[in-house]
Amino acid sequence: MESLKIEKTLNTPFVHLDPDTGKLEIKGRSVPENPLEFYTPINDWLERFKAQAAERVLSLDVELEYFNTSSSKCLLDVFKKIAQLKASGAAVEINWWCEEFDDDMIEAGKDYQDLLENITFNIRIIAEQ
Amino acid sequence: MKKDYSQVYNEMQDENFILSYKGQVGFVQINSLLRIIEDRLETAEQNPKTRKKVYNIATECYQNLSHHLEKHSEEIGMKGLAVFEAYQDKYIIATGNYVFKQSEQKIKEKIDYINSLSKEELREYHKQILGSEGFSEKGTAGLGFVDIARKSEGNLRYEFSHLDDNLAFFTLKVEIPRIENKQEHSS
Repeated sequence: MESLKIEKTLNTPFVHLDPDTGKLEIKGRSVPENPLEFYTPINDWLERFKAQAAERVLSLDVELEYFNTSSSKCLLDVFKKIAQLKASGAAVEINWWCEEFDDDMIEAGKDYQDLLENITFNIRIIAEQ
Repeated sequence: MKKDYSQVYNEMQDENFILSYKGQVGFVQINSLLRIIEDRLETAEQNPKTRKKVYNIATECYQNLSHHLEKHSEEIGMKGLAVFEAYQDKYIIATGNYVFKQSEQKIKEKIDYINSLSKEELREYHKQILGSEGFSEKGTAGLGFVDIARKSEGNLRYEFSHLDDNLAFFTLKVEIPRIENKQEHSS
């Protein structure tokens, strides 16, 4: 299976989904006009990955600077796909990275935690440089 | 009377600025406005938390405006008003656009409901919408006002000025207090 790599733009994040290492990354800002269009290839990729999910270890790192409310729903869909991979036999975790001062981002992570009870969803603080 | 901009210029503190835009509010125009605001905030706002919050709220307000503009007569078109004001003690973000009478009631009910909720209730309401399936017909999550209210931690102020029986001009105004954070200055 091919990896999926999308370079970041002013309004969309960098995405790298690597089937060999099981490392998945979404980093940058997600404020596109049409988030559905942007997130569809990601969800399609995760759907295809299901076939080889059994006994795999997967971790998704999400480190967003900004995201709009339309993206918030798409992100939840991505997280739900990850939960499905767990149901298919993979060990999964999601890391939601926040800057220490960013209460809004931490709050958003807590909301996702509440909505995704069956998977490991960690809120992590980015260490200062 | 002619407006004297030299006076406006001189009265404004260096760290203050006002940006006021009327025109097409498509995604491209909104992006340009946000780029200017982000750039100015970078130098004008020392507190990273406030900087991020303000930029986030501006993004949501203006994208909301862009998404929800309704098609009217040729004359009104798809134009809207986007305002950003930075003062020493607060930021003000405002949007304005024409809405049809039938939308007015819906918007009012939604904002009044949001304003009536406590912080915790607002969080639950947000989660409830986020967790529900699907998008609106406009491709949005229906979370705009809720998110703005949560992040700004204050009431959303609005006004409808009636143009005629059919149309009203809807103004939304959000205020974000500016917090001095000396600790973060010193580092």
